Amino acid sequence: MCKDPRNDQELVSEFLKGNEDTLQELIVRHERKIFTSIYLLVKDRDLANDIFQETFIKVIKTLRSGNYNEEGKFLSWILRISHNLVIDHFRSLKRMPMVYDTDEYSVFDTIQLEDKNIEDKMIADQIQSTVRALIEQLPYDQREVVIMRHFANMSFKEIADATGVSINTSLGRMRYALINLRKLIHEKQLVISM
Amino acid sequence: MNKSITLNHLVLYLYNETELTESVMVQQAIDHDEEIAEEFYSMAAARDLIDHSLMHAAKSSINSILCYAMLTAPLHKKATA
Repeated sequence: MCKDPRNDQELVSEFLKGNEDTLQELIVRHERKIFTSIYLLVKDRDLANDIFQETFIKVIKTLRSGNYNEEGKFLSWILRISHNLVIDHFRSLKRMPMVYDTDEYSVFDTIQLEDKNIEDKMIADQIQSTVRALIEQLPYDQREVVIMRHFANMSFKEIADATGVSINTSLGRMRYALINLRKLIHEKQLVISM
Repeated sequence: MNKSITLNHLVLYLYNETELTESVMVQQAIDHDEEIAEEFYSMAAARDLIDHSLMHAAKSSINSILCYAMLTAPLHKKATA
């Protein structure tokens, strides 16, 4: 019989008692959402890995200092840390990321998602990279809401509070993000079957 | 389009953030208004795509984090681990 998986808070408590294995469990549980969130903002895999490491180092330090008190919201908390580190990075470059023109974006030239003979994994990988490429092309404000809603599981009210805008603005950004994604799919005549 | 339903209502409903009465109202609007239904299902299709964008961090990054945690573990905890 399978044991119920421990929740994040239990794993954090175990980690603080000295059980280092629980950190690995937490990382494995959340690394995809955290890493993808960072990557979609910085659009560079190496830089995303650097910020991913930096995020967890900060997480470890904060946990050990006893300053973590956000029960039940572990993932949201980590994503806020990573988001702040991304902002710090762009501040250090004295610029914010801009939306770039899609005309010369090469990834779409090589996508052949219609091919029924490709291995399932390859198809899945292609879908992932296609969708990522589409999300990367969204304006920063829209990408931010997508990441917070989909990966951090934050409500629109929480997103509005975190980004300092009204809830209607965060809803509008999400709506435009979804509309823009559909538009990009149509423009590029992509066939994405899942 | 049904005047009592805004596009923001559709987004909230899409992400299960509407109250029960609001949910009923939005679903009825979707069922009876083609324009609203088209907007809603178009957004739903895009929403479903987003969750397929997840990617993994490099294994070396994860190993570095785990090494850092081990090397910096408080001494008394290392002893009891």
